[in-house]
Amino acid sequence: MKIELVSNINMDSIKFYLGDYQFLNSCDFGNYMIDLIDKSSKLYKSKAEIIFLFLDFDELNEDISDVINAVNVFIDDTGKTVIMNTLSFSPKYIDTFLNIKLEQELNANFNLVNYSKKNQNILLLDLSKLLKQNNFIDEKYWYMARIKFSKSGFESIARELRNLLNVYRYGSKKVLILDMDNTLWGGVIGEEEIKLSNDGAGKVYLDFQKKIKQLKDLGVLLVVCSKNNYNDGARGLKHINSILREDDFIIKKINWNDKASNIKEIAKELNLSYESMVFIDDSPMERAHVKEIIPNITIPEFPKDAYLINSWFLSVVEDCFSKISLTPEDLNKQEQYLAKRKRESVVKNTSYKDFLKTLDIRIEFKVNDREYIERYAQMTQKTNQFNLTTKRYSAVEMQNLVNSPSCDVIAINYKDKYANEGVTGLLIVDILDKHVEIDSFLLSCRILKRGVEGVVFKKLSELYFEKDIIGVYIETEKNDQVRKLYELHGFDKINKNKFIRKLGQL
Amino acid sequence: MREKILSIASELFGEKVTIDTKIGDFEKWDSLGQINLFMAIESELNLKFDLEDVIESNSIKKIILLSEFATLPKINT
Repeated sequence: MKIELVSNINMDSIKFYLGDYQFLNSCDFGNYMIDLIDKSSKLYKSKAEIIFLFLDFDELNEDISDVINAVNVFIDDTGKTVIMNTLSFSPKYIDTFLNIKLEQELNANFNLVNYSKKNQNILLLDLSKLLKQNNFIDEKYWYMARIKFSKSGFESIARELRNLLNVYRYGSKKVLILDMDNTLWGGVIGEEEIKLSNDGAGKVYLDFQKKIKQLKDLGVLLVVCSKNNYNDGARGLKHINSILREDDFIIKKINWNDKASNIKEIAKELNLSYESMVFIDDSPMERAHVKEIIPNITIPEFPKDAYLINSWFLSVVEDCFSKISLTPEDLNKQEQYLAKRKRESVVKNTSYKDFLKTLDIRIEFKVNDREYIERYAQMTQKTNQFNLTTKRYSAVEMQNLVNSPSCDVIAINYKDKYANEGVTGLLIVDILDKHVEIDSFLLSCRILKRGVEGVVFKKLSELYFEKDIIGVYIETEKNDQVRKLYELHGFDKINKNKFIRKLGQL
Repeated sequence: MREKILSIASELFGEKVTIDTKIGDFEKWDSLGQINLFMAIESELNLKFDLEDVIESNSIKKIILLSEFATLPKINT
């Protein structure tokens, strides 16, 4: 990208610190006022999209309002963007305590800020902030070559300019993804008392949280991504001193999944690119892992000393979350994204059924088939979650059940367009005079949530058309997910363990 | 010291700088580049040079000699 460099001092050294930009000097040295107004000047014909007009206040002969008028003529005519700096005298004055220079600075900057607010083609770079650093100015090269700033001075200006150009070109980052333990607070929640308080070591984290909250108020989306038990993590956000509360976060990934996978989900759910995200984690291992898998995400180093977190974070904010303007949308963004996510989750729910349809599921039943007796027995031994009675049978016992006329062993074969899962479910039904009773009903995890249960109950009605069906449920530690299964499929509750579906009830 | 100066110059100019490189060898090492090279060396190695030396030391060899001499203990004569 090309930038026109225009200044009343020798600023050419900047090109050594912004190597990826091409700096042009179409203006004659010291002639910028005329070049800004003269429509036949080289500046008007320049191919650069951006003009960096750097004014040194000590050397400025013109009145700032005249400069602003000239810039205004140029912008009106060319539509180009002009970056200007706030005006600061060198830090040492002759008139110290008289505040004459201070007043001049305030007036000049008041004009500049007002103008930049009204004209979106003007961007302001705050030089006064930078000048507060030590060793910003180098007198030797100033008198030798009109080069005013030291190496570190140019580096600071370059960094500020780069940030401004990045925001101008790419916009600022949108999402801040945060770890919890030793990041949002000191210590590990769930194992010890966390440090988060208005005094002592916890103050660092409290101040950090305040800054994060301010960032959120400027429209940055906050996300936690932390390896904790969910309840532990949520408890941290309910901590009496916590500035950040649960609803400050648009997404909370508090689980034991690897963080790269969590961040991939976050990107999907927010429909934002990795380039718009910043990930903060105190663990070098986690940072390296995420960077390895998602190279485009921004992952700043984290300070080793906790007391440095706050100043470090401000530089991260400057690098990543600077904005050149604030829109009302920024402030509403949280709400917008929340609403969008809600809409999407509705869409997801309806499309799940459609998704099932596309699977082309085929279910086959085999009644008292001897071929897979070993497999049936094995399933009763192994299946815990979708298992209504959790009765365990050996292969010999299973053999007897298959042979017995007073009960049916029904195997469920599942296949869809992706895979033939084979025998993945089993029913054992005791056949009595007026009714049948479900002795066992189990499905393998692999075929859950695909509507197989409904097909099974339909099949039972078909097989035992003349009888009532009694469903049995025996609670275990692991089979809570099927506690309501019978009721969901039209059975009436008899007692805690038994449910009935009367003949012809459906 | 030599390695450090080579690396400072290489980084500043974005070019491969060797012991034989001198002013004018590439576009960025012009008189402005010369000054910025000295600014960088002074800042990185915590040295201070006289103006005349900055102007005259226009090759890597001269700069290295100048820098090495600058770090010798001063002898009163």
